Amino acid sequence: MNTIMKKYYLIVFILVGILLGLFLVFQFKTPKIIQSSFEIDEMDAKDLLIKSFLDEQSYLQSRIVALRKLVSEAQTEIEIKTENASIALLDNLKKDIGLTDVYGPGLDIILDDGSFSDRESSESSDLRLVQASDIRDIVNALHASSASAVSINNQRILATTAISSVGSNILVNNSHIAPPFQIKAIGDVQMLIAGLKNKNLMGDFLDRVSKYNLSFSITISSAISIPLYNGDLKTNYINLVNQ
Amino acid sequence: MKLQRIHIIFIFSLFLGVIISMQVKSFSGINEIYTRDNNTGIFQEISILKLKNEDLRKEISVIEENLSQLSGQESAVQALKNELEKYKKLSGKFAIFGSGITLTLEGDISAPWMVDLINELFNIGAEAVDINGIRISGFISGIDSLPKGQIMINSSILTAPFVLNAIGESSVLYENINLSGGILDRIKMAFPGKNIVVEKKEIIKMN
Repeated sequence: MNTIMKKYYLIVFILVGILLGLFLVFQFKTPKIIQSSFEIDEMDAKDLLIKSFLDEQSYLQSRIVALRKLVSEAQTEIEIKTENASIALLDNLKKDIGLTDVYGPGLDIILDDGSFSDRESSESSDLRLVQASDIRDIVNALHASSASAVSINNQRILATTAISSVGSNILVNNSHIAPPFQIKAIGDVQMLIAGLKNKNLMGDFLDRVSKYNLSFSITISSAISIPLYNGDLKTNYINLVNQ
Repeated sequence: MKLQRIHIIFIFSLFLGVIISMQVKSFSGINEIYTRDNNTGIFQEISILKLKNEDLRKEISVIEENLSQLSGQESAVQALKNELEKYKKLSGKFAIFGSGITLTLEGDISAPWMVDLINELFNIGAEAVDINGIRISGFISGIDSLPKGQIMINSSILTAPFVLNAIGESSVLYENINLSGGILDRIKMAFPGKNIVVEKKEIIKMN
């Protein structure tokens, strides 16, 4: 009996040891999350610094829009004087890229963080917050449903637009945007709505809307206005073939 | 003897409890990595904003120069040519080439993850991206996934392997796409066993 009991304890201790070993292995294989800790005054200084950059960014973006409009006017003048055929091609390319204002029927979508959530103090992965990936999914669903133009908080979205996050802040074209997020799309309204209901395209966003009370409203409008792109365009590494 | 055994079992249980709680904490950490968005810090936000403003200032200089050239008849023609060339490169309607990287993904992937990958390529500085020969441009950018794991872009059905080309500064693209905890790591976590090959290329051509 004593021998059986001893064997029994031995097996139990071996099993506990193995289990412990497994946990230790998992523990050391787990990637560590790097988290920064800031004092309150440092946070204030950071906020001030970010605000100054954002103020400057708003000014620079409005300046770009104004200058692009002046360039278009000057080009129209040249077209009148010279009847230059290149101007027509230029205008078409500008439309394709997103360098003209666009008007037409479409959707006005508003999304906002869930009730009782605080973007400033929340972790970036807080499921009650609208994530950059949610906005990417919505924009992709709209494009997949043949939207001809899309904007987020009045910023025109191009094919090359990156929608990313830094902490709990969302950046579009590397410009900071804050909730509520207004996404406007021009296109066939029924197709656009069908795209937004497609769970294949929308990830887990639609589930989170009901689970965490995220705000998500869609308004159909016959007159959506989407502004021209107000950012920079880089072609430093692109060359045209046969030029 | 019996008391000693109880003590040992108690200490073991305590130790096991500590390990389990640490493990649970780690899994909540994994959850953060597993999310589709990168968890970057405040300094990076400031750095991004600073760079963005520099880019905007450069763009203003380019447009101002363009505007001043448009005032003279001869320089106006040159300014038009320059602008035309720039927009041809961006439009997706003209064949282009340049240095960059190529990513090859074996196996299926869902539309949201493909969207994330393309988004990340533009985020780290790609100026043009194509997938299985279809360039992402103003009128081709919506990505849908089909039941058999294929990807659909603008009515074209693409099957694995998915080959993505990105034109830009190849070393910067290569370094940033391979960052630890970055998009490739997150895709590999979402699709265990997925093989992704990244190569630098001197010349990439896109139609």
